[in-house]
Amino acid sequence: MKNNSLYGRHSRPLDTVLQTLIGLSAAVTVAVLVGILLYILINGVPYLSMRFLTTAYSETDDSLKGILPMILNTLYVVVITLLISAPVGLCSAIYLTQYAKQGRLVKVIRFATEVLSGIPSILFGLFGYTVFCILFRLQTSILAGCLTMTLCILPLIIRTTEESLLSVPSSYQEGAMALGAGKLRVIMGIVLPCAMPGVLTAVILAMGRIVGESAALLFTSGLSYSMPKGFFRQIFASGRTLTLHLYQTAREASTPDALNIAFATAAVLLILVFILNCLARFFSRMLQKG
Amino acid sequence: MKKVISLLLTAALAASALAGCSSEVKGTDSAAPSQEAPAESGASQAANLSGKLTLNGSTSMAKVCQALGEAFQAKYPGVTVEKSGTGSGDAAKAVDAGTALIGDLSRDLKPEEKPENYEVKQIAIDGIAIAVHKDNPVSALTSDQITKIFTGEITNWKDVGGSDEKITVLGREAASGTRDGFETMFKAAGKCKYAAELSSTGEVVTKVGNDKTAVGYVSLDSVNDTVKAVDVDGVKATEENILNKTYKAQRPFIEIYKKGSDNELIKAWFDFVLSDEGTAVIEKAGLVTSKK
Amino acid sequence: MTLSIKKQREAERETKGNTWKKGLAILLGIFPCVFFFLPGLHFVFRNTSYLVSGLQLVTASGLRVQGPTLSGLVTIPLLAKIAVVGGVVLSIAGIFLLLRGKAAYAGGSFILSGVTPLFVLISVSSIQSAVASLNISQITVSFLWPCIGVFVCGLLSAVLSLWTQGTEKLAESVFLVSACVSVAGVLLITVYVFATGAPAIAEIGLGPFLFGAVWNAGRNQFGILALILSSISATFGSIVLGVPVGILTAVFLAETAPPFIARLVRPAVELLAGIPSVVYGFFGMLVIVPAIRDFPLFRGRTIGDSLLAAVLILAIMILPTIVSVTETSLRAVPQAYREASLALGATPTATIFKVTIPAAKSGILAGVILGVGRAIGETMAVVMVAGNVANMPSLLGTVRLLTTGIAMEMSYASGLHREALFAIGLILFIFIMIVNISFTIISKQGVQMDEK
Repeated sequence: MKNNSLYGRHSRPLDTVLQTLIGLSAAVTVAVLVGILLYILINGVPYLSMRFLTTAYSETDDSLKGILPMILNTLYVVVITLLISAPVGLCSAIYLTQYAKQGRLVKVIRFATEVLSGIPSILFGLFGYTVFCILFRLQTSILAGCLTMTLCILPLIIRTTEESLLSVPSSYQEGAMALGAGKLRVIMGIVLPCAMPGVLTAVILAMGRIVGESAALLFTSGLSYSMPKGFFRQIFASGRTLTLHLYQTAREASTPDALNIAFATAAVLLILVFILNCLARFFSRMLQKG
Repeated sequence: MKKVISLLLTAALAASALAGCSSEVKGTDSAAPSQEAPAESGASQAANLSGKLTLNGSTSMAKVCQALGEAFQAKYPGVTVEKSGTGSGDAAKAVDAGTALIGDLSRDLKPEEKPENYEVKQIAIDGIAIAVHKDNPVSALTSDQITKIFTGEITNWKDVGGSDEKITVLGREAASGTRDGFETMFKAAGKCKYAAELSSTGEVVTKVGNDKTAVGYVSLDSVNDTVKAVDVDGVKATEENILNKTYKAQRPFIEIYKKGSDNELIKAWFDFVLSDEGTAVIEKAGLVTSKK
Repeated sequence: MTLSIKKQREAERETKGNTWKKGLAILLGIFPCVFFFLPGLHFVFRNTSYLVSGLQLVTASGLRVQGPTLSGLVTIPLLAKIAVVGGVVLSIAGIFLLLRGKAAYAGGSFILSGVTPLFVLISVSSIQSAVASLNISQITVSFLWPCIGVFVCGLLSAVLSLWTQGTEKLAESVFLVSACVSVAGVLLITVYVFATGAPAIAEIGLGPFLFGAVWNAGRNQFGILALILSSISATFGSIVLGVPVGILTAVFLAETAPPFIARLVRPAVELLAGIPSVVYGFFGMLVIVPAIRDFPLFRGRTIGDSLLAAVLILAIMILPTIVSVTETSLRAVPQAYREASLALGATPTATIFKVTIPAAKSGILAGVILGVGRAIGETMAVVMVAGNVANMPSLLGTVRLLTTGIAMEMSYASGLHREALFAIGLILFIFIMIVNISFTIISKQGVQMDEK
C-alpha cells in the first residue's frame, strides 16, 4: 500500500494506525463470532445424541431430557407461519412492484412495512398475547404464536421478495406483453419463475428468523414441554420452541447437568441457523447466476 | 343506488327493533353421561377423563407441580396438565380470570385477594432456605443478622463470621410468594435492598451456586449440591425441623380453585394429589406433606 | 363484419360465464342469511346446552344459566348483536350491488360480511367470563363451523363477484388486499398500543410516570425514569462500541481486504446476524457476566450482571447490521470519487476516511439508526445479563430496561400494574417511531444531498 507517487510522498504514520485499526476491527468481529460458536459448540456437541434429539422431556424424570417436543413445536411454528405469511408477503410484493402506481397508497403501504419491521419483538408478543390469546380466545397456543410471528416476519418477506421481483429484467416482461399475454399471465408465467430463487431465499431467511425468535413467542405460545398429542390438536395447544427451551433451562440451570442441556439446545440452534444460512446463500447465488 | 341504501337501512332498523324484544334463551339439559353415577372402577374413569388442566402461580411449586402433573398425565392419558406463572401473585388473578383452573401459592392468600371466593387445599409445607455458596465459610446465621443483611445494614461477610467480601444480596421479583414469605418472616417487608431480582427459585439457586459472595432465599426442595442452606437461629433446615416447627422459616404450599366449581378435572386432581400416590410424589420432590 | 361477430360471440361467452359466477355468488351470499335463522351456535355450560340461532342472538336479551350455587341471566353482548345484524345486512347488500352491476363494491361488501363472525367470536369471551363468574367452569362453546362457513361464503362470493370483472381484476384485488394486510397490521398494533397504554398514563399522570424515579409495583409507584435512562444508556453504550468497530469492519470488507479474506469474513458477519438472541444472552450469561465480575478492576463492586454486560452484548448484536448496511453504502460510492481523490495525491487510507466514508454518510447513518432500533428493542439477551433491578443506570450496577421491564412482570401483573406495563410498551413504541421517522427524514435528506 506504499504510495509510489512521483512526488515522493511516504505513507503517513496516521495511515498505518488507521490501517491497523481497520484490520483489528475485522479481526474483532471474526473473533467474536468464532468465540461464540466455538464456546457453544464445544460445550454442547458432546451432549448431542440421537437420544437427545428424539426423546421427550421431563422435569422430574432425570432419564428423559430429550428435546423432541421442542423440535416439533419449532417445526409447527415455522411451517404454519410460513404458510400464512409467504403467500401474503408474495402477493404484497407483487402488488407493490407490478401494479402500484407511485401514489399515496403505495407510500402508505411502504411506510407501514417499514414501521412493522422496526417494532421490537416484545411489543409483538404483548400485542399477540392480548389480541390473539385473550381476545380471539386462542389462549396460549402455537396458533397464536404463529399469527404473531406472521406480523413479525411479513416485512422481511415483502422486502426480500420485492428485490427479487425487481431483479427480473423488464425486457422479459415487455417481450411477453408484446406477444399479447395479459398482466396476470406475465406475472405467473414469466416474473415468478424467474424470481423463484429470490423468493426461496426470502423464505429461508424468514425461516432463520422464525427459528431464532423468542420474545414474541414467550407469551403467545407458552412454555409447555409435553409431547404433541395429535397432529391438529397441537396447533391449539401450548408448546415450547427450541429458543424458549434454551431460555428456560439456562435461567433455571442449577446443576451442571441442567447446564449441559442448555448447551446442547444452543448447539442445535446454532447448527440449524448455520444450515439455513448456507441454504439461503446457495439460492441467492443461483439467483445471481440466472 | 339510493333505493338500495334505503332498503338496507330499513332492513337494519327492522332488525334492531327486533333486538329490543326481551326474551330469554332457556337451555335444554343435554343428555350428558350422568355425573352422579356411583364411583366406577378406576380404569374406566381414567379412560373417560379428558381436557386441559391449567395450573398457574408459584415457581417454588413448579417442580412439585410438574412432577404431580406428569404422574397425573400418566394416570389419565386424556388430560394435559399445563403449569405456568412466575409467582404466587399470579394465582388468584388467573383463577379469577378463568385462565387457570387451579392456582398455586407458596403462601397464604392475602385479604385483598378475597380468600372467601376460593376453596383452599394445602398440599405441602415448604421451608424457605437461606442459601449460600457451598464453599462459604458461614453456615449459621441468626434471624437478626439475616434481616440486617437483606436490608443492607450488614454489607460484608466478615461481619457475620465469614471472609472479607461484600455480600451480594439476591432476591425474587415482586410477585414471588417466596419473597413475600421471607420478607414477612424476617420483618424486612419493603425494605430489602437487592443486587438483582430474579424471576424464579431455580434462578436464585443458579446464581448463588455460581457466586461465592451471594446469598438468597429459595424453597428448601430446590437446594442442590452447589449451594447450602444455613442454619437459622441454630436450627438446621431439614424436614423434621419443619414438621416439628422448630425451623421457623416455613410456609404452606396451597392450591386454590373457584368456590362452587364442580369441574371433574379439579376433583380428580385433588383426589390424586391427596392420595398416597400423590403424597409419594410430593415427598420425592423434597417437600413435607401434612399427612405424616 | 367478422370482427363484430367475434366480438359478439366473445361478449356472449363472457355473459354466460358471468351469469354462473353471479348466480353462485348470490347463492353463497344467501348462506349467511340462512344461518341467521338456523340454530348454529352451541353453548354448553355444565350440563345444559343452548342451541342458539342468529335471530335469537339478536332478539334475546340473554341466556338463563344455572350455576351450582348461583344462577343468573347472562346477557348477550351488544357487539355480538351488531355483528350478526351487520353480517346479514352486508351480504344482502352484496347481492343487491352485484345485481346492480357494481361488482367491486359487492366484493367488498361480501368480504366485510365474512369478517363479522370475528366480532361475534370476540364478544363471546365476555359471555364466557360472565358465566365463569357464576362459578361454572365447564364451558364449551362451539360455533367454529358456522363462523368458518360464513367467512368462507363471504370470501367465495367476493372472489366470484370480482371474477365477473375478469381474472385480471380479480388478481389485482387479491394482490391489493394482501398488500393492505401490513397496513392493517400496523394500524391494529398502533391502535392497540395506544388504547391499552393510554389509560394507565391518564391515571398515573404523564409527569409522575415519565419522570418518577421509583418503580415499585407493590406500592403502586410507577415511575419509569430509571427504565428510560437505562434503555438510553444501554443503547448509547452499544452504539459507541459497535458503530466504530462495525464501520471499520465494513471498510475492511469493502475497501482494503484481499478478496480471499473478504470471502471468509463476509459469511462470518452474515452468520452473526442470524444467531438467535437467546444464544447471545446465554453466552453473555456464562462468559461475559463472570468475566466482568472477576475482572481485577471491578472486583467486589459488581455481581457481573450489569449495564456493562448489556452494553457489550448489544454491541455484538448490532455489529452485523451496521457492517452490512455500511458495506452496501460504501460499495455504492462511485469509483470516480476514489480515483479523483487518489489522483489528487491522497493516500488510499486518507481517501477512505476523507472521501468514501463521507460520501456514504447517509447510508451509514441509516445503518446506525437500524442498529439503534434493534438495541432499544432487544429483550431476551438483556434479561439474562442485566440483573433486572429497576435502578438508575450505573455502569457496574444492575439495570432494568424498558423492554425487560415489560417482560419481567407481564405474566403476573394485573389491574393498574398491567396497564402500567402496557404504558411502558406505549413509550417504547413512541421511541421506536421517533427513531423510524428520523431514519426516513435522514435518508430523504441524504438522497437530496446526493442529488445536489
